[in-house]
Amino acid sequence: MTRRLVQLLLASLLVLTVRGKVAAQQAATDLLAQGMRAYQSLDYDQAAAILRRGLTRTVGDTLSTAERLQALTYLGASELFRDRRDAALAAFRQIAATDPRYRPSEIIFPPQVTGVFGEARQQTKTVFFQVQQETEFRAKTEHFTARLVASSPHDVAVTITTGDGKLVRRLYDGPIADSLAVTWDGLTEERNPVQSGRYTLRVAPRAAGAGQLARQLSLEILRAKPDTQPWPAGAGLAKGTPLPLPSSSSSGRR
Amino acid sequence: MARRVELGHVSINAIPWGRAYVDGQLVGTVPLIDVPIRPGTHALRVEREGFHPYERRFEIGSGQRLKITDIVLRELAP
Repeated sequence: MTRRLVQLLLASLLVLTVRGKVAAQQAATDLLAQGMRAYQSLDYDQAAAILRRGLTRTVGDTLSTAERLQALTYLGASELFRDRRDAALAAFRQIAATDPRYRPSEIIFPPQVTGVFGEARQQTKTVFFQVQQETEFRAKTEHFTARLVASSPHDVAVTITTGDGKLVRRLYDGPIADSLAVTWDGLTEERNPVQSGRYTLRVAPRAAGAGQLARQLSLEILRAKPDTQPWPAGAGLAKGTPLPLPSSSSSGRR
Repeated sequence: MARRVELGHVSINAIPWGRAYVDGQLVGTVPLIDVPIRPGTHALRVEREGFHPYERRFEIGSGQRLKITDIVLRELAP
């Protein structure tokens, strides 16, 4: 009897938990919708407060990336019309640090908003990686390629390091405008093929300061076993083929 | 003795944003907040290139604060 009661209680708790989660998910998108409505109704104080509530949720229901960018845009615009320009810039910088390609709608947001957004984007110096999940190449003769997309033009240093931060290879040192393809032939600075292991592709802005965000991508290198067939003369690969596999998404360091 | 007439204030917003005219005079780009205006009936027009202009009349009283924020401009056919 007691066991049956416990089972019933557990079942009802489960139902309550599930229902609670659904309600919370509705609340997250509802906050965004309410904030947007308040913005359109010119209630900027209310819009900013509601949107901040939606954006600061970290557990349970959270906004998707697209919703978050939308919320930040409305928040920045609301702050701008509240004469809080610094708060607007801060919201817009968060957008630029999340997605360098994102632009506020020029249909919805007037030039004073898109102008301040452009200013925030120019102040934010960071890059984003576009890499294939898995790449196979022969060291020295072939390349692993990573495309870097910049939030705004700046100078960067691109390196490969070991997991504990020792320099393996300098790949690029110079300006990036919109985007840049960097390649790595799988060799160290001494032109030896790297061993299997975890490496880091790191892109750091050359100037330090606010809005300068380094990015890094973890690479899992697997060296293939030597083929039983002999290598053609001059191929230059003694022991195997490095295979860089991005093992995690990019992560920012602020 | 003359009765003092207090101005009303109108706030305007539209999707998409555009230029707002009251009685044919440009008052600015929306969103506009608390634009001072004489009490009475006025003609509002909001326009944006590529969209049908929006027009309506509104009445505002002495000292009244009025919000007109439900304006949606329809896109012109291509």
